[in-house]
Amino acid sequence: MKLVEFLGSVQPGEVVLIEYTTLSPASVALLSTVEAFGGECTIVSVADMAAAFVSSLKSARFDMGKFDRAGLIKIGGRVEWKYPMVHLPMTSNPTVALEKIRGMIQETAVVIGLERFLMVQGNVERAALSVIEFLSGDIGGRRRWVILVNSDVAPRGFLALLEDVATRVLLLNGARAKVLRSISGEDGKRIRV
Amino acid sequence: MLGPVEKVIKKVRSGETVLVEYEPTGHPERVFKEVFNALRGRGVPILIVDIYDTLHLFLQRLKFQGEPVDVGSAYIVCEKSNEPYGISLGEVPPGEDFEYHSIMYSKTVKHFFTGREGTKGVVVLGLEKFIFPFQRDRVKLERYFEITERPLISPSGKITFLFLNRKAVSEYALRSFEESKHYVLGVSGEGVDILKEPPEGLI
Repeated sequence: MKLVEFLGSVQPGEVVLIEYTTLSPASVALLSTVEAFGGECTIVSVADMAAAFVSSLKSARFDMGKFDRAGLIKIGGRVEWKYPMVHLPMTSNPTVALEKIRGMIQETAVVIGLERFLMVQGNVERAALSVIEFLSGDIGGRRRWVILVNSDVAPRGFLALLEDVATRVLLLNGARAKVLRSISGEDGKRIRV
Repeated sequence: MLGPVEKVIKKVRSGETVLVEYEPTGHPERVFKEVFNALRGRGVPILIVDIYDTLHLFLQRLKFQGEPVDVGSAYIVCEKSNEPYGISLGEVPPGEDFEYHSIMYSKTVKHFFTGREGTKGVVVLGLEKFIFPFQRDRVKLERYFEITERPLISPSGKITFLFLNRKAVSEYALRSFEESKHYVLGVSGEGVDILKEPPEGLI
């Protein structure tokens, strides 16, 4: 099964966590998410992480057409690659920022750089719990969340809490992803990127 | 042949505590279902302490898997939880004033414990989120264990199951939780193991 198909099977009310390492082709996970929903999604980009991924995809000469339809919410960052719906400061209070974002997302959101948003907060643990509380509230609701997290950078405890919240957890390693846990009985399955 | 969870549920006695430590990529919600159904089947009244909506996560995951659980008969104490389930006893905010928390918790659950004969079941979900903000402060962590955690081992008319995401807590906290529990179940992937039980017949 390809990652695009896997993501296409994600139901409303689910949170999918895709863990990647610094040297893995995580930008392709972003592309797969956008393609899986035909571009009908909102990209939440922290500290220009989406811009970095888009740049990598363009270098690899991927067709970026569906990105035109996707919305963009920025938290921090300076690189202009698409006009954002809103641009929030990096030092925003997590609870306030997330509630604002929730109101702007119709169906599907893909979040990149959440671990970096945490790092600039005064109290990382409390900020982490705010994020978890926020995502927990959407489980079983009408939105889908796809969260891409750099496991080399994310605090271990936060990653563990995210893994617990997510309905499906994927580990990206090179050109393959492994399903670490799924509510659809796909545990241990290998997915082609 | 009995599975590990069934074995422990059959053996555990009033006054004893079971730690269910799980890998976050495991299926703790299935163990919760087994525990809840077993206690309910035995006619044991159940109190669920729900920290940061962990009950909601477990119930939704079970629903997605086609294995819903009805917790309508359970009494619920919310600690920073927003989703309403069961019979609400009230809210006790999690915090670092452990004496105050203990007093507020006791007041809130009094109705569940008084005037009720026989063994009661208590299931605590989301324990890692309670200690997450202060677990790096060893002094605070030790006070937590002294005031909130270890008193669970004093004689009582209840069986307590504590669910803990073991990857979200420090090694020190994890080992401290394990030390004072009668039973420890480990949940990883789709498997469950009995990691610790009382040393009956050892000598």
